[in-house]
Amino acid sequence: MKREDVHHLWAPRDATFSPWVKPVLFAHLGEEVAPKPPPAPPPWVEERIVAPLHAHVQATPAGEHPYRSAPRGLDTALILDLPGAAGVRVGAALGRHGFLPVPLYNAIPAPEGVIEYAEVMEALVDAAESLAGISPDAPPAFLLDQRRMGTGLLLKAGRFDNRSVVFAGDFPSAKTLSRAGVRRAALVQRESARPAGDLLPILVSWQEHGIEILHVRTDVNGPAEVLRVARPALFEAIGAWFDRMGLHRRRDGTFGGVIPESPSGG
Amino acid sequence: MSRAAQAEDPPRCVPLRAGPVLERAAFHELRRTMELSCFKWDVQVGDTTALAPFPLLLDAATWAHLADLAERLTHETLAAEQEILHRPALQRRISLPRAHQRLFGPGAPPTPAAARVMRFDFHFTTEGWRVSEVNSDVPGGYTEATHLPALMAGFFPGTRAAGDPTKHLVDALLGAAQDLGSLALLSAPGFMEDHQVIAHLARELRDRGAAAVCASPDHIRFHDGRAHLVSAQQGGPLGAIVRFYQAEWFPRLPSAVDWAPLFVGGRTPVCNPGIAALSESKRLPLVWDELGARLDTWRRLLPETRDPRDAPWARDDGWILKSAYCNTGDTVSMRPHMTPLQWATLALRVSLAPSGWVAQRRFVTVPLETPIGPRLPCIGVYTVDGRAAGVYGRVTEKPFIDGAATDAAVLITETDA
Repeated sequence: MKREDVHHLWAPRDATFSPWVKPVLFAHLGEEVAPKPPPAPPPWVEERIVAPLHAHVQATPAGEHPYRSAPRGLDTALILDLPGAAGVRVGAALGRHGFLPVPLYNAIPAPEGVIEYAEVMEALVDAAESLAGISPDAPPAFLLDQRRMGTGLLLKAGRFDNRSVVFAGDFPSAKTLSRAGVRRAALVQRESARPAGDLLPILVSWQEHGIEILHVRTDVNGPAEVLRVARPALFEAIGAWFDRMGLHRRRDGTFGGVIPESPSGG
Repeated sequence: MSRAAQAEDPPRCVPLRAGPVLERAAFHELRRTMELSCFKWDVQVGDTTALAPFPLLLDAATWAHLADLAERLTHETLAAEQEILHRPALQRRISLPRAHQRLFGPGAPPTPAAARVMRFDFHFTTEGWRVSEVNSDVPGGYTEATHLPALMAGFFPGTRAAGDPTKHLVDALLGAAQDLGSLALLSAPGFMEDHQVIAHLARELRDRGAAAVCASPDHIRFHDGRAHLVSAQQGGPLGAIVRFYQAEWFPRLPSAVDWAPLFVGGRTPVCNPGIAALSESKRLPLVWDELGARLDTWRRLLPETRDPRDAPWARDDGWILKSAYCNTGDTVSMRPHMTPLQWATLALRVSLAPSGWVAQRRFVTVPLETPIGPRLPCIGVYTVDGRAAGVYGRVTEKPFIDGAATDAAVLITETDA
């Protein structure tokens, strides 16, 4: 399979949200790639993501949303903030439930990188053919790597620092989402009850523009809960600034840089 | 102070126009090619696509005119650099970083050039063609100026790209490196914003059979002025260095990094050589009158430029401000396009350190009617070793070019159709 074919399956020409697919990992694939049979989709996708969202939609009082009758919550955008290739696999599985997975991985996949992306790239290749036939009007499922900020990782000199964060400009605006019929957005996470710091201002902005924010966890069974996101308090904003300060963001918007040696003079 | 003469003859007609928009499917495939094969990874920013789905069409006579102007400007720029190199007082006036002033002392031999590339940003104004600045130190945009017009020209018979700046640059680099070793392409390990440019050039060099390595300044060691690469993956002597690392950033590097031979005393040729830092300063026009070099073309084309202390920018919106070392238009400032708080902050910064800034008269760019509405075009003309080599086209809604501009292929029409 050609690299272009893989990208085409993830970013179909006529799909509303294809323009937001980040090309970096696809550009680093070989010209020809050999997909392997993808693993079976995680068995809990239906139980822990789709069903809770559907239940929430069904429970929404009549008349609150003009799109209330949309099947299976298709007026809902997803943000899958899951570790590594899990996000790709869950995103592909959600394709069968009417969502268009939109990879937002934006880091240089250097072999010696702090964050390892080979498995994510393999998953993108393996899952590509399963995406054929998704409606071009499907709501988006944005795919993020929960490891992106490298929290807790040891940074060694000489390694390639490809930690990253997301910005509002990586997503469509709330206006564009609304125009596409999106009325709510569900943040899907594992082992985390709160949005990552870089996602918070994005979710706040969407919420302020009338998009309902939900929270779903993949590690526990439970309902989709309405998330009231608030602008970060000053100390949280300062903490987030420090978190981002050390990240190597480039003018092209991608992330990656060799960690320099410490000066010998100390 | 520099006072520009009449730019050019008043325009009789706009020599530039927007072509028709590509069919959606065709543009989609063009975008995909740019993203996957041409190192263009920043096409989508929010709801905006940073590639124009239409070309800018320039007639052949106008292209020849701009190419000639760019070559003249290159010649004049190089002459100015040579003079300022040995005049510390002028280096201070143009706000050259102090670390560089210490390097460019009397008798210090400048490191040879592997190639010299510049990009002059032309604007078609109500007074004819004007130049807003030269990107003399680390001009980028090679893939947008090479692959985008080449791909777009395939859809518009009777047109051609203005040139191939990538090929011209790679030719020059290979000629400089010869068989002396690998080529190292340096970009900043901190912000690393120029990696896609470096990766693009490295691949083109490898396609031509050269050993090209992307690295950072701390991977370079100098022995007797000769550069060697020291990294976990690859090492050995270097035949040439591509410095895609802005001159003013070097002094911030750890003291263990030996970067001075990139500027003076080095024997491995560098592109661009460190001397380019002299003409990168937007304050260069302030010392024109003290140079022996003839700068007639610059005087014709650059808007009047003054030290902020000598310009009424605080009360007259006919002036813009920019920092001496302004990159991608990030500090170009016009009051009507800023919030009151932004303007007050800027005014304070300029008032506290006016010698790091410059005030320049605004010009009025003639808007183009394009398929996406009226846009202001900028035609960036490259020269490589003094010869015009291609064009980087951008369009914007704002009256200045910055990182939010949309890249547009510039195509040369063989006839005036």
